[in-house]
Amino acid sequence: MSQEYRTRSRSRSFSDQAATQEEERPFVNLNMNVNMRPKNQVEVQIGLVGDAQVGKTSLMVKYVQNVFDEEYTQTLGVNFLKRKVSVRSTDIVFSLMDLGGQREFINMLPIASLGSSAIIFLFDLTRAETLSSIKEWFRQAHGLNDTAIPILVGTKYDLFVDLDPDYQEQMSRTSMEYAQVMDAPLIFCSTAKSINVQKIFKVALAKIFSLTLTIQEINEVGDPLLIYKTLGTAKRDQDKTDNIKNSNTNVTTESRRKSPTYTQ
Amino acid sequence: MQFTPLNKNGSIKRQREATLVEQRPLKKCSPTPSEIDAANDAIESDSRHFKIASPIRDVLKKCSAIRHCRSKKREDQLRANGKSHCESYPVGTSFPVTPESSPLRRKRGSAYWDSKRIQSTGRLAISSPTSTENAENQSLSQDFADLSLTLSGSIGKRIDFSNRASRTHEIFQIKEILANILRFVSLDSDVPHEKSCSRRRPLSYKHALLIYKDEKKARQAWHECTESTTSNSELKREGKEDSLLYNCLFVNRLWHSVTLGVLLKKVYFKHPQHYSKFIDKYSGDCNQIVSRPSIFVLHKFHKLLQNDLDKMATILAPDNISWLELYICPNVIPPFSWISRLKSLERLIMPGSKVINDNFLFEISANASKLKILDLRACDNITDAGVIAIALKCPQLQSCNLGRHRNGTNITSVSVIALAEHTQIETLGVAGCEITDAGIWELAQQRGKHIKRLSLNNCSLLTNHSIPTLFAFNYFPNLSVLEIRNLAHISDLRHLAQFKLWKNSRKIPILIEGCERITKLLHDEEAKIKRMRLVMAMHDMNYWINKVEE
Ligand SMILES: Nc1nc2c(ncn2[C@@H]2O[C@H](COP(=O)(O)OP(=O)(O)OP(=O)(O)O)[C@@H](O)[C@H]2O)c(=O)[nH]1
Ligand SMILES: [Mg+2]
Repeated sequence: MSQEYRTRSRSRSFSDQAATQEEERPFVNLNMNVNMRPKNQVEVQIGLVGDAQVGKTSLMVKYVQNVFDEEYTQTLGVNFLKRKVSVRSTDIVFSLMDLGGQREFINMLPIASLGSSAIIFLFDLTRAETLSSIKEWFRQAHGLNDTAIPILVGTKYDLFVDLDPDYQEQMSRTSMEYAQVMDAPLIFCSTAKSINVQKIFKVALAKIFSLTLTIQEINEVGDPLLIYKTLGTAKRDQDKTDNIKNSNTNVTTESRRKSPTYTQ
Repeated sequence: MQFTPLNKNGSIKRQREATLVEQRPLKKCSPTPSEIDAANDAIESDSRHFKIASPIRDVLKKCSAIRHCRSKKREDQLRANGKSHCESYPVGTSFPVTPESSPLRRKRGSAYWDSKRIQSTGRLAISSPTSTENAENQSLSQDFADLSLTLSGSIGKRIDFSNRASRTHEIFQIKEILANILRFVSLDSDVPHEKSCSRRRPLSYKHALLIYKDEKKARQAWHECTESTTSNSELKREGKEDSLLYNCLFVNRLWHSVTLGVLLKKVYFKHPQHYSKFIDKYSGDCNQIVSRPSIFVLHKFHKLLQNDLDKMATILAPDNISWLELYICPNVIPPFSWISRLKSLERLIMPGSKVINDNFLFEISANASKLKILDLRACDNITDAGVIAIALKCPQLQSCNLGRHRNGTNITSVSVIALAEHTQIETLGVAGCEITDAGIWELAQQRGKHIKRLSLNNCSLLTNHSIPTLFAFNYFPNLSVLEIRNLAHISDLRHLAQFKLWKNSRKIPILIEGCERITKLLHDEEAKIKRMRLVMAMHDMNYWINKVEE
């Protein structure tokens, strides 16, 4: 079923092309004469969901290609991009699945949620109604995949800071409550001004593999919130073993996917 | 406003279509499988129920396809000329333009359709420059006439054949074409060969379990190897393939002579009675050479005597033989008169021969300078001396197998070093020989990069100082099969495990065959490396998430 969704979305979304081209590149990162020790490769899939125009595509494109576009292009179906981060002897590959926020694409939610180790729920800090929609997004995505780590992200922080302080206060408090209920780390970000963008994915990785993150939390109302220490962990104890087990299969030199991932 | 006329047109068109379809069966554009079969049946009966090989069937298909295209083109022309009712079709409609002359139409068989069609297409037929419409009831052979292979009447002397055979299409009476067809048929028929297995059989159930890591698979594999090797069904199948060309001998005189020519290019036998029949038939012909084959293969002639094999020398000339194989024919060597004339020899396969010795290799090496593949498994009498002769005189040698269970002392590192220094060796089998670490080191240094397969089973002198150490330095980067069963002194599998994982990560197949002990050690090392890498990955990720960026 999801296969069918995928093909439908493929034909529609623009950045899919970029992704396939990427996959077709030859695999050249191993210099066999120097050292036959291959790099470890860790692959994590992360889904991005939330209402239309909250900035899901912008965030993904910013993270993968480090560009920001003022103009809005509606996402039709699902976008897919990969980013590889090379750290010492390990390649961390993020596969990001961005689901169009229009209601009509809700039937493709399985593509973004199934197989994802974390699901990022995005809302627009300047539009309160996008936060209340999170309830429904969470209900549906969680229903499909309850082992994925939820992460709650408020976008367009750059516009948010110019708004009425009371609104800001109200918004911050409500989103904290949401985060509590969802047991999801909460992060306010700005794709336009590059605030907290990298941290979203570091928090995701830390939560997925139960790593200890030491970045300073930010919990002053009005600041770009970054609250993660006590969130996204309650359920973790029960899932911890699962994740370690999964990571065992993920963290191998044989990549699970049929196509090789990025090379530097 | 713009859409209405289009729609109207469409509906008009559809109406027309409907009536036309009634007049002429136009629904299908391409022959259905059953129709092709029917066509084949026709041919088959034409040629005296001779079984048609698949290549011929392909030719058939192609013919009908070509014809199909042509008639389509013609119809297009007609439409452009406006000479028939076709012109009324709107251009670019999806109307299924089945060609009038399509060979498949005739197969519909119904007289009703035939008469209808002839009526309705009368006009078309007259205006068509290449029309053959009026000869709708011709046999299939006329379809082939489009290929313009027939020089009317000059070929195909029908008197030669019985009534039925006279209906055989002319192309089957043209020697050159027939030879081509039969050559394709002969490609299908396999020269008998040793069944190649993807990997060696496990030595025990436990071993199978180690290899397959899955109880079900392991049990099946172990079961298979306790069963007997040859299953009846396979033998039957082989027999069938064989008879394909053989049958062609009996179609008619032309077929016989052409088929014989093709058959005699590759001479191979696996049934002693076929062999003796062949000898009987041709050795009588006042010692005349009948063929210069490129392949000569005898498969498992356990009882063959030298005398019988020597008779072959009076029938076949060896000058073109590039592949000479006496597979498990323990008591014979190639006829003496052949040896000095094996200039084209590239592949000499003689496993299990009890009679060949170094002298034989001296003779061979003096003549067969193009030798590439040499298989002397279980030829116990061969020693270093013979191998050195080969190494010195056959510089193109790529593959050499000297593996054995007896007389292992006859082959030492001397052979390995000679081969490494003087040949293009890529595949080396020295199972059960007295190879030392020094020999393997020499091989690694001379040929390491080129070595693809290495069989070292039961080489009891090898220690951790050769294979394991060499792999640490990646001396054999292109190795894809390594056999290291029963090497009692090898215990350090770390680097082999690393090599294997490295290959896996690059999706390059690698097979390391060990005995139970070695396989287990290898697995343990692999697991250890994987664990270590996991820990490392966690470390790296931890480092990254806490690194200050932005
Ligand atoms: N100022 C500002 N604008 C942003 C930010 N993030 C996104 N935008 C703008 O918001 C609009 C919508 O962004 P998209 O990323 O296309 O929204 P989306 O969630 O992918 O929308 P759908 O594909 O319809 O679901 C675009 O015009 C972006 O330029 C931000 O952090 N700050
Ligand atoms: Mg989008």
